Amino acid sequence: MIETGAPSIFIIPTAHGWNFLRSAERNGSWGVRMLRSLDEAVPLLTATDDFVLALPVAAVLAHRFRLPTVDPAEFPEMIRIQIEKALPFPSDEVTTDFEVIEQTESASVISAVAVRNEQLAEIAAPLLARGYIPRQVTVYAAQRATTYAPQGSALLIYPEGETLVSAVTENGKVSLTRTLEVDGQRLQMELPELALSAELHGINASFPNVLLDESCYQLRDTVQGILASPTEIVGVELPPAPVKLNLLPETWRQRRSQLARQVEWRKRLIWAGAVYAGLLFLLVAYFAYMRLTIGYLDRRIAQDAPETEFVRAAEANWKALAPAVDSHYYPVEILLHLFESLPSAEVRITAYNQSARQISVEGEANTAALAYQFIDKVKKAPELRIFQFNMAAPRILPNDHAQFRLEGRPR
Amino acid sequence: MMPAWYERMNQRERLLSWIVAGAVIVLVNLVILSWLFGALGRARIELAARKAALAEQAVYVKERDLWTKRDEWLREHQPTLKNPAEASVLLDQLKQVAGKYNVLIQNPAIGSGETTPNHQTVFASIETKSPWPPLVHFLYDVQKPDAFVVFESVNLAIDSSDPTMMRGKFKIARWFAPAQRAK
Repeated sequence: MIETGAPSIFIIPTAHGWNFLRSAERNGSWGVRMLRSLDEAVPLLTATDDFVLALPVAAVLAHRFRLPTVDPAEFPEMIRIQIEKALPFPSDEVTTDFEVIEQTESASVISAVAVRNEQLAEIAAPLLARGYIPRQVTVYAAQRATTYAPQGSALLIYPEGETLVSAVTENGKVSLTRTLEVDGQRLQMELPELALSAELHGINASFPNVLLDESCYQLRDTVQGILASPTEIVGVELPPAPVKLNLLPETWRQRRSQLARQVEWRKRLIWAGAVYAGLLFLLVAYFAYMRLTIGYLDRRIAQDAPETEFVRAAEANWKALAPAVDSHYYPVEILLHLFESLPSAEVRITAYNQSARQISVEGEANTAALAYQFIDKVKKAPELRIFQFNMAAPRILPNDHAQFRLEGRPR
Repeated sequence: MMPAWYERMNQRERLLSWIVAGAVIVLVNLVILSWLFGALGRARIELAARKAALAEQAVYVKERDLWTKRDEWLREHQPTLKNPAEASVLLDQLKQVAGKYNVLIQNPAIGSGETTPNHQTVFASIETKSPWPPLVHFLYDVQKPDAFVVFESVNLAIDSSDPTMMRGKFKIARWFAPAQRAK
């Protein structure tokens, strides 16, 4: 939907309906598909396709104006006034665009093309219904003229639908259009009338280039006989030359921008979703990795378990028998280290109790501070580290001495 | 292109449907993320526990020789309970040591103690009265690693009537090899 570079799809009117031209992988070759109606183009398009819709001559009104200015800034307003005079519709019901055919020092010759919005909407209804809005709406005659006769005046004759159309062009711009009868005798009358009209509009009617579509080959001699000019046979343009003429209505342009923004947002959402899904995938992969690692460690633990089972049992047995075999639990050892921890002779142990797994020491110190010094030293004694000692706040006796009780449990 | 049911909705209905759809998506994702992060947290804890277990096993394997020697030592040195008179033998040994240091033994008693998977117990309860230095010698001589003697209960206090004397109450046990191993 974003206009980047040349379009890759053209939809152009033909005798049988429409031609759908698509660049084949952008390698220079083009595929052509014949469509009876634009409905058949819908399945061939996608929301991101960038395409040009060329209108048949019958759908547009082409006018040639001579404006008394060469200032491009004045063109739009002057052309609007001219179009309003020339068209039987209000200006807000049509979409117009113009191209400069030629300029002199004081004047400009302009090719102005208008299309009724309602008619344009009818033509493009199948595409609009699916949200496919063309990048450019132009006139097929302008594309053909730009392709085959970019300089000088030319007369294009080709079929559109069931009719034959003629377009007089100057420097690749459409100046005058007419619908012709396919009948040779009628052509004998209509072509001279077209040349006369062209002369009346100030167009050189000698037509050095007469371009006849290949499907009208049988009319070549007739046309040559009438116009007394060499007639060149032309085929389908692959692709048509780019033209500036754009009849895309403003509402379509806005809708196209809106759709483009929607596509952008959809892309962003898809990216965000993809990033989120990627993160989720990484988390799940990390989880799977951790489960696999846990499984691997479980197997290793199970593998080593018989070897360590004996060690565990031996350790448990040794610890259970520690009061008998480990001298750290012997009362005489504990008492020795407790006495070594006494900070001074002013701290005295008055009672000692021990069970297989717990000891308690009662004593008296001249001050509470000495009692706290004692517990500090007991806690720091490396030989008593197998016990965890606690002491409640000492009780102050009437003589200001501190009575304390120390309790120790194996760690 | 939008589906027909969406096209049929007006602007308010579309807004509401987007809000509902967004809320559902957010809730579903919250449930998924909550489960995923919960599972990851649990897996991390399990992994740490397994690593700790493996490290512990590595230490055990490394210390295997030490524990083998200790186990062998216990098998060789832990006495086996041969008859109920072992408690009496223990008391006799205590009396002998006490006599050596002039520690007075009072109220002796003997009995069988608890049986655990690690040991069978016989004990002797005694009360002592002596100065502090002989008592220390008594305690030192009674207990040696290969004797498997345990002071299951010790109560020491200064004699209230004579501060130079110590009064002690002891429950002294010998831990024999468990019956299963003895067989």
